[in-house]
Amino acid sequence: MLQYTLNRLLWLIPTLFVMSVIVFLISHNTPGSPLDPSNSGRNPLSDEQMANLRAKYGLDQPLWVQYRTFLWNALHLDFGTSFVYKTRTVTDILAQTFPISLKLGVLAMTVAIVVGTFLGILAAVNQNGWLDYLSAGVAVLGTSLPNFVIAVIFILIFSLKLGWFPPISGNLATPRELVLPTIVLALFPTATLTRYTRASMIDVIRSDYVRTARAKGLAERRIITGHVLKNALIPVITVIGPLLAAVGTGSFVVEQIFAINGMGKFFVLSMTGNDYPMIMAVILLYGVFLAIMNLLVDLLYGLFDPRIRLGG
Amino acid sequence: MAETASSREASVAPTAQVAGALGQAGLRGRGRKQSSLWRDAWRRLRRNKLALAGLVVVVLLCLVAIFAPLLAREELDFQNYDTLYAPPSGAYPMGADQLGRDILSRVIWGARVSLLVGLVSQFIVLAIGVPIGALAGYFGGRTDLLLMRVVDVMYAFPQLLFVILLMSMWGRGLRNIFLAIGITAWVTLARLVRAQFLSLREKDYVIAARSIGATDLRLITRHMLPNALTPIIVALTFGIPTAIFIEAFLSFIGVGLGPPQTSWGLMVGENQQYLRSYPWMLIWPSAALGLTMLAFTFLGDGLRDALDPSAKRDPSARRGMGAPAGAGVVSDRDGDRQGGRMAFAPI
Repeated sequence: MLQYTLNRLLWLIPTLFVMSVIVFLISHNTPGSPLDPSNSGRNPLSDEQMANLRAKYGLDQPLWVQYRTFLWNALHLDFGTSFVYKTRTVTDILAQTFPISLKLGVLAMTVAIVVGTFLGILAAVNQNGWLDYLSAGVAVLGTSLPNFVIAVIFILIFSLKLGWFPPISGNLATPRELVLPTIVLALFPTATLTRYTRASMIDVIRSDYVRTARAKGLAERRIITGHVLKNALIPVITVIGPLLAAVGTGSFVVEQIFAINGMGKFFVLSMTGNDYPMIMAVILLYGVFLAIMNLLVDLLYGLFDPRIRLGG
Repeated sequence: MAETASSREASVAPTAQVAGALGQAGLRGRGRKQSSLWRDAWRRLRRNKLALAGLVVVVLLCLVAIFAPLLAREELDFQNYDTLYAPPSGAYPMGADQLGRDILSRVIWGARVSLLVGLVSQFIVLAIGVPIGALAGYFGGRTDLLLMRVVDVMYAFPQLLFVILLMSMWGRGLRNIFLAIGITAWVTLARLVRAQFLSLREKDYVIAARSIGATDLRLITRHMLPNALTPIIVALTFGIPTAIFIEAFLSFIGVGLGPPQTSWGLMVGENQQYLRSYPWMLIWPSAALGLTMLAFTFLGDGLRDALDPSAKRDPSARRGMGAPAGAGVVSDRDGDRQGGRMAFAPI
């Protein structure tokens, strides 16, 4: 287990390094620098003043020096000043918006894990029953409808027609503001988890040792709770990593459409404003977060299923 | 890996056996058998009502996209200031937008964009993913290690973020969308093809062909690729809605297509603020997008079951296939991830 853990931990370093290089290079090759003299929306400043500004932001240094500075600062959680909101540092903006996104994300993920696994288990136990078809329906709709389509439909029905929930969620301060965004954001992971749980359960239900348990006359309930569940739920753990990514990118859309003041909304704004520091910070933060979560998921998986760590 | 491979073997077996039995001299026979594979698949597909419905919608969509210039009553950017915000009526079945543009016409033009994105990006995925996967799987060893490192690095980066970054570098536009999706999406297919080739490499008929002196190129293109074809087709079918979704997502957040062009995602993104007062501006493009995604998902599911009947019986194969499709960017990766997991830990 120790070697497995070390192995997985070591993989984190090149992954993060490559990620930071890619982000750095790409955002540096993005056209339309705020200081570009040929830009149509250029600053009405003289060339000398622009050169001063460029020096102030360190944009006159060779690329690798800029990268080194960027990496060093990033390690200290210093991502510089936003190009768009010039009076605020990126860390400042993120510190304010990230908790809102996190709240929404954690809530959506919790809902998804609880509802998804539960639906999946029910579907597998009642194979080809109405519950199975219901969960298949949820799975198909949830995985194939884009979340802004679902959001549009939900806002139309539940806030504008029925008036149950506000169409704008702002800071997610009240529970009523939380309901619709959470459901919309949770739908995709819920659907995916339902599918995986069902498939995994059926896999195990058909295995030899379950047949043996049946043969010796165990009650169906005991078989499911005592024998099937544990083995069937372990592989489902692996899906959670990629699903976190889905919830993260999904929140760009959901925050936008429900007008939530989270990180996702700011990120989308920074894309159109060429706000490099902001873009790099968000993508890196997000990449690091995902890499660490994936690592945790891997380790958990190895912990629960000895076949993984011994085989790997 | 072992799990995925064994279930795959079952599906490849009929073709493989025949090819093996006929020996490699009997290549004529392969053609006949293949057409019967397709006929079998078609027979199975026809029995699947949902898949058939999906197929019908997809065909209709293609027709709409091809004949858009005839069907759309108005040009893309035709503005009519007498009909600003017109609600749906006889003249404007889906209403008009804030510039008086006919929404029905714009939805029809949007079908073109969505299908183009789906097809062209999958073509790029095919062109990159298959050669890389095939080379890695066929040669193994150092080639495999090198290529798979590249794949691993790409894979560690969430696809949507990568696409967003690329689009912000290149700027808006249809061509950039094709490229951005193609360049980031081939990883999944490369892994799939590699896994296929790894198991095909050990097959008797491949060894036999090698022993009578078939070249690497011939082995790859004539003997192995045809037997890896069905999973590739299924993966590409699921790649289409994924690409359509990515385009809609990009346009929605404002880095995809730009005006005056339009797409369903862009229509929803641009008109967000009208959701309260003029909901028809968002309902129709949303519905079109939802319907398209569902149709492709059903068709893909049906196609997978039809081409690979063993997958239906064996849920683990389904997992290995990674096919929970659809808004698929991520689900696509789940499957891939699952496949990767197996490769990582031979069970």
